[in-house]
Amino acid sequence: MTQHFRATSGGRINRRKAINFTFNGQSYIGYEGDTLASALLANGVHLLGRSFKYHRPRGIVAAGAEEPNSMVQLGEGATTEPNIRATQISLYEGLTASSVNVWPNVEFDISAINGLFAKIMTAGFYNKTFMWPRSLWMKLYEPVIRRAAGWGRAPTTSDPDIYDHMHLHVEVMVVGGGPAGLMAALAAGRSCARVLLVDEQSEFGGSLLSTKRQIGGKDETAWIADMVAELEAMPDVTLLRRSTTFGYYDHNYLCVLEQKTDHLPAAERKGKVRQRVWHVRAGQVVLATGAHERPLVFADNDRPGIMLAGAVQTYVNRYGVLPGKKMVLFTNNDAAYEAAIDLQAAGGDVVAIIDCRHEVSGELVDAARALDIEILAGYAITGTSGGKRVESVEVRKIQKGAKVYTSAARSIDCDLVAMSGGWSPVVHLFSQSQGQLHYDEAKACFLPGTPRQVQQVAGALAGQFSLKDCLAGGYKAGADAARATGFTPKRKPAAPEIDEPDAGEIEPFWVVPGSRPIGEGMAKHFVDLQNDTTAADIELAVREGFESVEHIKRYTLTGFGTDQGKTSNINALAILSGILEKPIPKIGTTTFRPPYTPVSYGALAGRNLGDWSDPVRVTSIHDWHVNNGALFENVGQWKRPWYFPKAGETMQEALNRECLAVRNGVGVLDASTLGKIDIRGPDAAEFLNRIYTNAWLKLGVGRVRYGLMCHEDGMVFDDGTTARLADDRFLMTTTTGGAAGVLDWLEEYLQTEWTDLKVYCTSVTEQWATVSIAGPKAGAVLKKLAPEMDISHENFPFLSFKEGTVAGLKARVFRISFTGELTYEINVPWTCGQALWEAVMAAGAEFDITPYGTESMHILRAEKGFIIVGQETDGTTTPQDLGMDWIVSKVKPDFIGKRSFTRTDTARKDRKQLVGLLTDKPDDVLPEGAQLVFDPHAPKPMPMAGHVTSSYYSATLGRSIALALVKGGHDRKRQKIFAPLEGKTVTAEIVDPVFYDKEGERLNG
Amino acid sequence: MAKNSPWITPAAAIARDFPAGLTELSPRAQVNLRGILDESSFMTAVKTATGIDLPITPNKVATGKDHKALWLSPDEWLLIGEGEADALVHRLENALTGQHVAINDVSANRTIFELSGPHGHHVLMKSSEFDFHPRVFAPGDCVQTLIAKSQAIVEQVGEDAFHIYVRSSFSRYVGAWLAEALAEYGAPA
Repeated sequence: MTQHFRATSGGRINRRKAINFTFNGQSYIGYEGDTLASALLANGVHLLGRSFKYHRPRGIVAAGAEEPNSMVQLGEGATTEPNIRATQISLYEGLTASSVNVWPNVEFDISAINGLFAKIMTAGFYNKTFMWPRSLWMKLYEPVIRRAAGWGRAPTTSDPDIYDHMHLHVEVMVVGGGPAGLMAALAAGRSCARVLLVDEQSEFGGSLLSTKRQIGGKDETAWIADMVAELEAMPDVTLLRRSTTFGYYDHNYLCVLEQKTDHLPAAERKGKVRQRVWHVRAGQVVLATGAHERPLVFADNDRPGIMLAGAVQTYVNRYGVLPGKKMVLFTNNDAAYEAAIDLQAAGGDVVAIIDCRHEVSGELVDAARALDIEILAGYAITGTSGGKRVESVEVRKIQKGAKVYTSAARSIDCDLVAMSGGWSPVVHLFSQSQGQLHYDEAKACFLPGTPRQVQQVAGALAGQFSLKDCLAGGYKAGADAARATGFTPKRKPAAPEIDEPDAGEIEPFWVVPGSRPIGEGMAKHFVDLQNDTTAADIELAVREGFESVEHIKRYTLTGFGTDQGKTSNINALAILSGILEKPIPKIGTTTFRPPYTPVSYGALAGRNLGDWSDPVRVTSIHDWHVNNGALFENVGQWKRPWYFPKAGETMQEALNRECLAVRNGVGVLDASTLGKIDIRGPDAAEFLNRIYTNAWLKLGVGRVRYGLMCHEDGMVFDDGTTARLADDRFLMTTTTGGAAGVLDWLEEYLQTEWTDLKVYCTSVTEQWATVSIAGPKAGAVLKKLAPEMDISHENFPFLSFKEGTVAGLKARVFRISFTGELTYEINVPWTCGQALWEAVMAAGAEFDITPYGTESMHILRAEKGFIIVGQETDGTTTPQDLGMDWIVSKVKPDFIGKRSFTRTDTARKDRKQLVGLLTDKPDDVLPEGAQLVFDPHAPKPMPMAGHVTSSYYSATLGRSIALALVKGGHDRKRQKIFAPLEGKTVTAEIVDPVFYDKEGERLNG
Repeated sequence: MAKNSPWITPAAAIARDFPAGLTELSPRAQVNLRGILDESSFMTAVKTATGIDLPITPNKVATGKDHKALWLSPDEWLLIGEGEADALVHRLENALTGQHVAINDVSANRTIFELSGPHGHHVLMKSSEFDFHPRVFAPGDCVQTLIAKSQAIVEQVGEDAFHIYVRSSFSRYVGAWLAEALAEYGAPA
């Protein structure tokens, strides 16, 4: 196929470089510099898809981000992407794309039959029709509707591309690289401020890429090139092309999606970052986002070949494409005449200009007349015909001041209708930044009003619709922004001589009646092409009682979808204004939310995927664990060995072996992950006395004590042992997951509540690797490793520590126990952890020393009834609930949480309290989290009595054990309790939570 | 005699494969010091022990003959020197006897990556929200921030050279992240 609709010359495309691509299985050729849309138009392809609800044929409407129709499925396999706007896809060699929302194909689509039922498929159709019977919604209606209404297909395999994020700080960020944005960047750049200029197009220039202008004696191409060259030469100016600013958040924080490789053939993308999200913090933001042209709402205004006038101009001037050879222009303003003039100049034929204004005059009107183009002033298009492409329009004369037709219909043959209802400034980012909009009657559009953030607006966004105003406004905005961030702009250069036609005036004409009143007959006046919303739908919604623009949006779907109503929102609310007879400003707009255009999940995730999704913390002994077959458990961000299965062992067999080794021989655990905080100062003991619930003032140097911390509400939030290193110095340990939170807690109290206390806290968690050896033979192992250390029970009693040499390493050894067995926790510098571990393994070999993981640790401590904060507690558990009254001082004047223990609620007798559970059948291991009830026969929903917090099979005891929080549990010992599970109910007896060695005789080995 | 060796740096296992521009530094003495700035005896004693006037301007580094001090907070500094920390700790303890201070050997608590070369800034931009632009951050500056979502201290040590102090447990993750962030720029010819 050849490019029959390519003009013989002109455009910014590279005619020497042909590019092969495929659309709907058909091969085509375009040129470098084309978009998929321009290349398809060059090949005469207008029919790109079917509409959402009625499956009507649809074509290209716009030339940029505002395109409502031409969404395609781009690419194949794992990298395929649904619903990408053909107008924004840069053509590359080997591109393949296909229509969406069509079945079996775009030429013949079965669901087009919906069009025949259009009368009943009005606003709210789905809500009204599929409400009953309710039960069918999930099973039948929703799946069928979703298939019929579905657009593209999401890829089914994971995205193989590379994405990342970058953070950038600048004084001035300029959004939009058109004439205003370029001038703003230049003004700010010349002041030496750091500047970022972002534009969504492949090249800077904005509207100048679509129009022919002379600026200071240069043509637009030379002017853009000079501007870009000067900006590129500035070291602190960053230019981002193919980059969409999609979100504008608080404090001038904006997010930009840069498409780095999407315009390259597949082979050139390999190994490169596909898309990058820039997180920008800007001192000042200059928004120069331009304007989108509005369609006119007239009867059957959706046929392929009916396009925005500005888009026609873009295709002609930028891409050297004639979207049609026989064009009718339908407009309510002068500016659109330029599209007709440019098409004619490029070799097309403009058969008529239908202008709904009665008086037309001005430079552009004269120019059109000079080309012998017929101008029908005071006329409107009242109907169109054509199947998969517009073939003719029907025009009628309108009576001035009333929407009444005063002439018979005249039919005009054409293959292209250009339409222009005026321009809507792209207020999206301004509005996202919480700026207020105001309606400008003369310009018939919403303009930025009062901003909420430190920003400037310039160009068409600011209502500066002439190039002259854009350049001046852009320069001023850039200079003001630079000045506001402390930079001095250079003197303003003289305004260049600009050759541009006068844009004249606009007369709003929000909805054009057809031959019959809106809503009657088969003609449809589309407002939102993507959602198939018509003017009649809006009328119906109002008749049914919806008046707020936000309600209308949701009921009629106007403004939803991937285009978010860029071409439809203003028309919809103007129509609403007409129906309600309220002025447009009183109607207001719907909310503009990020993203401005869709952003892929891959880009949002960046590198935070898979192994990178969250930091992984490992101990210095991690590699040993890996090499010795450990399976790992996530504890906070830590990877902790879970258990160490031997070949052929089940998990339970491994746990049994590990636990029995600790009870009967010796086991070894990597306890490096515990939080460690050095606490020093003359008031350190007093500080701990207030932080922990128990007494600390009299702890001797060299001794260790277990402590429990509560928040002010009296609920347990951390626990651990703390050693007194010196009179004024302690080493606190915290739970693995709680370390950072505890340090924050300590600092908060020191800095805000107890500023009189002289105490310093220093985190030393990773200064010390901790190897814990536990079991009756632990002493024998330590003896071998530390022959000079006196480890007799008299000189190294339980809850004390010693400094010395272990395995030749400078070490601190703590005698504490989380297993109930004789335990030594040996601390050496982190970097020596693996050396210590290997020495322990070697010394313990003769005792068959057994490495064990967190699961065995949990079983061993549960046998002893020791709690784990976060497992036995959930932020609503007091020490008393845990049966740990013994650790709550009755005599201390104060400590955090004390006051709350006398609250009525914390003193309740039926609080959930910690108990042990023994199932009637010793092999039944209750699931952790299982709900417990006192009466398994109670009617549902049964009153809950509590839940299982920990549950294991204990090899030591030869049966299952569990810990649970049970209402009033402390007074229910020996009572039965029930766990109704799926398929069975397990009966258990409430017992004391200490299952093993209640007297603590094993602590000394 | 007790010793602190063998000393295996936390990222050693992956550092072999780091691309040009990224290395894990050999161990050095790191001592965390807290004390009361307002007490002139404190500043004097620290100067006696280390030869350094502690920086009092936030996020500045003071460099002496044998040591340097990184400002961490109004009452906290990180002292860095060659060799083992014991001697430095003892000198500080002796000089500061009787004062309310906290002196902790944290040599093993963090490892130090050196990021250098033309893409150092780009890697930092990918890894941190902090503004490391030369106008804002220069040699002699340090900052506590997040690098690859992990707590870190970043110190600029040269025109395009940074030391990144990372908690030992995070070092594998952060080291691998930095290496990956550099990969885009390829090996220098």
